[in-house]
Amino acid sequence: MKQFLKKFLYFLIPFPLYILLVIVADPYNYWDNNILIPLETKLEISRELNGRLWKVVQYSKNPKANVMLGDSRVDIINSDRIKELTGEDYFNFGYPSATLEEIIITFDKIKELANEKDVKLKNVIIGCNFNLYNKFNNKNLIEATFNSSSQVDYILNGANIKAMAFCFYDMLTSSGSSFNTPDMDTAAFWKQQIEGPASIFYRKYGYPETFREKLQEIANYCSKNEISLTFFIPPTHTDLQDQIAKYHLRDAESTFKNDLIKIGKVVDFDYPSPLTSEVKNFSDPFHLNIDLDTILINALIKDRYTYCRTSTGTQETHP
Amino acid sequence: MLFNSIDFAIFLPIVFILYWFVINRKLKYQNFLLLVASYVFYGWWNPIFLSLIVISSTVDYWVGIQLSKEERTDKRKLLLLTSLLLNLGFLGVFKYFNFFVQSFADAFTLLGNPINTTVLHITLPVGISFYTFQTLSYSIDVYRRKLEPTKDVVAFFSFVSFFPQLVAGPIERASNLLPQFYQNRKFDPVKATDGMRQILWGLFKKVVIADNVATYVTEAFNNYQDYNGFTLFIGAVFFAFQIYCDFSGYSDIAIGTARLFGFTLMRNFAFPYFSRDIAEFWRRWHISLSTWFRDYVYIPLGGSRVSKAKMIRNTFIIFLVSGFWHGANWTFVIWGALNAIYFLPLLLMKQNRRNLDIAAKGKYLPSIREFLQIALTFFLTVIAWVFFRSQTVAEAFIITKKIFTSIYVIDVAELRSLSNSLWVTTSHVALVILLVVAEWLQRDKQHALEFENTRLPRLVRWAYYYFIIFLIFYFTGTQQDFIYFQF
Repeated sequence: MKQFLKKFLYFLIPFPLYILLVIVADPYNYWDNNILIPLETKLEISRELNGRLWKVVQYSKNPKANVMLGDSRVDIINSDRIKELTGEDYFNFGYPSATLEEIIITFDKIKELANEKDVKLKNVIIGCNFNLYNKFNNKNLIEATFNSSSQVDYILNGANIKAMAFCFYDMLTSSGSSFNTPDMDTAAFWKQQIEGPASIFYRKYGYPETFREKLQEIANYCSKNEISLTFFIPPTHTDLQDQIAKYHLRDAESTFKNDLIKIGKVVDFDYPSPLTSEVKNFSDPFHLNIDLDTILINALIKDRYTYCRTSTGTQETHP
Repeated sequence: MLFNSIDFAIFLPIVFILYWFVINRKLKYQNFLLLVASYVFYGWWNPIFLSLIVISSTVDYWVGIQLSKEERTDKRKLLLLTSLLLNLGFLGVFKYFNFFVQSFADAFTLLGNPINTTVLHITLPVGISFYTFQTLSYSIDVYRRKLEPTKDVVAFFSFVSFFPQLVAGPIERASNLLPQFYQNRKFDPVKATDGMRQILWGLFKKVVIADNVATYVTEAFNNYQDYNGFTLFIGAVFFAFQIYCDFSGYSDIAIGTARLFGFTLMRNFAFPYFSRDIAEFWRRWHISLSTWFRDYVYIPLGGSRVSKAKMIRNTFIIFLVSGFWHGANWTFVIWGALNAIYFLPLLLMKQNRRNLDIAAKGKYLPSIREFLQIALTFFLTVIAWVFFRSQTVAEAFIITKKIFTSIYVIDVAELRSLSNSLWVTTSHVALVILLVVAEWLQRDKQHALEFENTRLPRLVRWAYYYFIIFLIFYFTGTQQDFIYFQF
């Protein structure tokens, strides 16, 4: 037995070292340890590698009363710019490739986290485009991320190995992040971005009755607890919008927008407008350029509506 | 409690330390600890269903004692019937009731007389098919006088609920496992070390292969209308690896864990995808279930020492029952029937026992003939898995038809839509290749990490283990239940 245990302990030696490395490197900033990897590198690398984990860790540490939920189209809105323009402190809980299922679960979890830390939710903005409003688009990775956000789970999370490897490589070579660089010319990238994802999102559509009910429950909860709730339909380029017609889903899209209007306040940017018809306004057909997020912030937080329609009777304006 | 969870990673060392260090050499206490640990392990999931295990164990223990006292055949039969009714009754209610009611209603609807039915809204207790078969083997063996009934309550209850194999097997025979509870257990470092290696390999198969390829399988089978034959075939091949790695991974962890406590469980998988015919496949796949049906169903029916007509009947019975054991759905029944159809020609031509040894024994590579035999067997298995994985029989037939009519149409765009990242998919395929190579090289062993009496230096072996641990950490997908829990 002694021999066995001795051999086993020798074998285990690398593991405490690995745990120590994770704690010191802290790639997802669980303990705010920035000695080995600077925060900027983490923001650039870890956040890109696993946006869900990054957001869950940050919000769990410091829940805020104002929250934005959605996918990468919401994620482009810079919280610091919101603070600068409005003075309001928002947590952006948008993460790449989020589904509506995940957005709804995220809302439930932030309710719990805010409650635990005695934070009263004040403003909730939910970003949701038509492609998320599909009963078949129901992937759910966020629940597992929330459920494994204890310290032990964090240390053993495989995402740390990836993040540390990329962060150290970046620091050693000063190569910078290349996650968003397409490996093709712009026109080909644009075409591929439209045809590939559109096919995935629209080839199979089913009306999401459960999602509608859950969104209604969120609205009821917000109304009961005096939380301001806004639904936001982020802008996408008209080339992508045209795909909806190509897949004969215009009626379904109208139903989606009408459903949201029946549930609560809606700010809609996703229709043909001078903003959405210009290629230069977008980094790809799905995402508005980051430096144009001021337009979104003004509409969502300061009630200054440009390039958008609202459900509260405000006319669309196109300066 | 899942083997691939943090809870189990904490639970196992605690039980191990208590077992070997705190109550070492006191057999009764060790058995009692195993019983408590097993109930905690099962109750972690749903403590209410522990009552079923307790009832099963109590009745079968009592039946065993009564059988030892009773000499009259009719009374002995009645006692056995009590055990059969209770255990199969639990299975019937929890697993098959809704299926029979629904099938009954469907039959009436087909005949033009639709009827209203009531279904039970109950949860299927995890592992019910496994532990009921295990405890049934005890009653049957005692009835047949092949096994002395036990008077040790703790040993018997521990045997029924032994946590390493409680929820997904291997389905142990009382004649193999129960006597191990009577023997003093001495820590065997060689056995324990090999057990840990087997656990590691099981985790690799489950966490790295099964959980990751599951994404492609789900996409292909959920959207089968949108894909052509080749893409669906790839989806089915991935499912073949998913189900193998999921289930044999569980068995490896179970066997390895049992070895840490000084127990030897029966082998459940023997590299089945290297089989050269379907008969060999069934000697290598889910061995504990196949041999259970052989010993308690097939042989009592006369086995193969009967007329050809009866031989055919017996073969169909055993495969259909085996299919039905997996789940209350016609897809499983057809899966069983398909395997019977594959198997029968070999049996009738007395070719079912021609491949008893491993493929390409003593060689690195198989001959062309062996390779083609392995490939054909694998292909037949993959087609059968389509029925196993599909939600309905109609869906399975559509997928199969597509595979046979358009397998030559390779659509790269379709294949790409199975996954979001080409790099990730490539790495997953590489991992499957790693699995196949590692298992092929070790096919004469019990598992792919068995390195006893090897000439490989410790440094190389340890580097290999660390590499596998790294892969487990790096490729950890979303934690998923083991597929066989639902059976």
